[in-house]
Amino acid sequence: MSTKRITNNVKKFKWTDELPFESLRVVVAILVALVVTFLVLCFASPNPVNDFVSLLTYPLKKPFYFGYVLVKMVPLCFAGLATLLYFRTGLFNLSTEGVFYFSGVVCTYFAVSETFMTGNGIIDSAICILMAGISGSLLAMIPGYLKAKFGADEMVISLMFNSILYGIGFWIIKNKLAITGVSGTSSAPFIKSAKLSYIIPKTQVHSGIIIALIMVVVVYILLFKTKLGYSIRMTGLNRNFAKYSGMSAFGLFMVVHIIAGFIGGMGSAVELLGIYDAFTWSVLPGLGFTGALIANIGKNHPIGVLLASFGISYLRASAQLLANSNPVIDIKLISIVEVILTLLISSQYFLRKWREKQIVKEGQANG
Amino acid sequence: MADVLSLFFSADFLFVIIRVGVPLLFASMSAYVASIAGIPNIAVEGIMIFGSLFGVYISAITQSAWLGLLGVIAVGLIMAIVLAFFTMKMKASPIMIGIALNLFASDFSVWLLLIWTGSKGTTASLPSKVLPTINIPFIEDIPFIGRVMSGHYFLTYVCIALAILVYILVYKTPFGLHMKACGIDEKAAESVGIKVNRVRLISVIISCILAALGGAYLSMGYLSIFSNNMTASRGWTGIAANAVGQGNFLIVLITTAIFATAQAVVNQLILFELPSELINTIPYICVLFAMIFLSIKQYNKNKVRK
Repeated sequence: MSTKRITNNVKKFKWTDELPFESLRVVVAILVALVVTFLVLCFASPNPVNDFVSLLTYPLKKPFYFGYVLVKMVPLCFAGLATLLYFRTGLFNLSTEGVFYFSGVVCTYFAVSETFMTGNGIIDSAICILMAGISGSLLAMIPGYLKAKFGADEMVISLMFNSILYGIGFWIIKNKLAITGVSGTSSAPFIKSAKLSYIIPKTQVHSGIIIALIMVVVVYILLFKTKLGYSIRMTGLNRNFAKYSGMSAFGLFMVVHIIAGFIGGMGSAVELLGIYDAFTWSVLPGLGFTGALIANIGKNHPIGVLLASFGISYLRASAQLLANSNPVIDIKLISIVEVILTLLISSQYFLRKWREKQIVKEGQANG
Repeated sequence: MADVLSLFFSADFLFVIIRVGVPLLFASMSAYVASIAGIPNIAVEGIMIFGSLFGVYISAITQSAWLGLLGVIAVGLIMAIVLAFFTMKMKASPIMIGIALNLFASDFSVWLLLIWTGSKGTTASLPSKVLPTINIPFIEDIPFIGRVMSGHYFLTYVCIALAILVYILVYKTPFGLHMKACGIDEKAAESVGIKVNRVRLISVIISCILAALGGAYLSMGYLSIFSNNMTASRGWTGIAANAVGQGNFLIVLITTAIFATAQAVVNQLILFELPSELINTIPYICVLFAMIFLSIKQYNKNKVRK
């Protein structure tokens, strides 16, 4: 009896098992993505090898650069977490983009006004982040309600919603929150005490990264350790599950939108108070789509999202830092890596033939 | 106020509706053709971006607008092959592939812009060609109709011709029936001997070329340059029009016309001293309400059935 258990425990490691196979797929996808990036650089750059190597290693050269990677990671992580919840429930909702923008406006409303600020750093930041989160929840509830009640197509609605929120938000910034007498696209400066403090010397890393890590843990616990999380995961696999789990589909969809909206709104405030001195976004930040990619690359798992947002922001930060000195490298170049990772990781048949062959071979070897 | 109203009841206004409606019509036809065959094409927006960028670039290096147009069709074809390969051969979700291609197009086009022109804004420095505008003989001399119908860009007339062709293809040919069969139930279609993958591949190719032509219209007619984010959600408006139509091509056309009218109204209002940020949201609000109206109608219909 006891020997049998031991043999089970030391089961031979096989690449064709579920988890190693998934990891292998991701690694191969990353390699393919990097090779293609290199090939594209060969066309554009007079010195592709040098450029490629510096793209991969630049952030490691100085603490400031590496800190920049971490700073860039924060909004991606929040967007990925919010989108992950939608995807897990089987909703293709991209409203994180508009929520992010408009919650930033709400955050600015509180952060520029003396009346709301107490002067205490922690309380002031908390007020702004909380208010942005609540506004995110309220905003996400509108497409959420339309989806939950009437079954409206959440993707098109969320995209239209993004453009509308952008128009209204930008108008508010220009007309209500700008410094009086100055016509421009930026708000009045934030009050010092609302801003998040830097936590690592010689870098721009702010305390927002701690909030992001906490949210990863919170989403992990929510998804895998609570009854609600179980309902979310099962409804994503089968639409009818919510009905049988005792929770109405309506209630579940609403709760998911409220939580995801809250995470998106929080992310916006953290980003603004972390690295900006005033609200200066004159275009949509593009996080609705990027969040979807991050969630997909991270296999809709909170830890995966954390890793994916680190990886993508590593390359993005590196490209952005290099853009100052190198004419062919720009942050937009990284879109090649992003698209190839997404295409390959979302392909169910990617490497499947190889896996089947391995399993057959092994079966034959074992008799 | 009288000025504003008189603007809306003139031949020029109808002309503007057609002018702004053509890219929307390309987009909604693109979404329509793919979705009735069962592969929702979410990448319309991204393909339009690539279409408009490559139209400008290829016409600039070859110094021929027609070669540019040919290049645009080739770009549509390549995007169709990528979309078809990943959705049909690799069994990836078409929604995810669409999202990825859209983001890729909007970012990568900026990088290409940087490489080709040194700036991230527009292709104004490239000596690109535009497709001709066409005055129709005889019709241009008819008082009102002439001013509405004549003097549009070449691609406007192509778009109208393609709309008629799409209608004939879907409703009057066996292939159209096969497309619809694949969209409704691929297993059933397969069981009666329809080659599902082939039908879908052709539909996706038609869809992507339509989207690419919509992009070419923007940068080789409507404007003579490519600028960053010039598609401005037109692809998504097309997808919304297709969603409202639910497989009925005439309703898709009518919805597109309504969205085009909203856009034309915006183009006129922007001339007055009104907050442009708010005015610009009008088309999106129209689409949003159309979608809400549709889903409430659908919801009530389902309730009655139960």
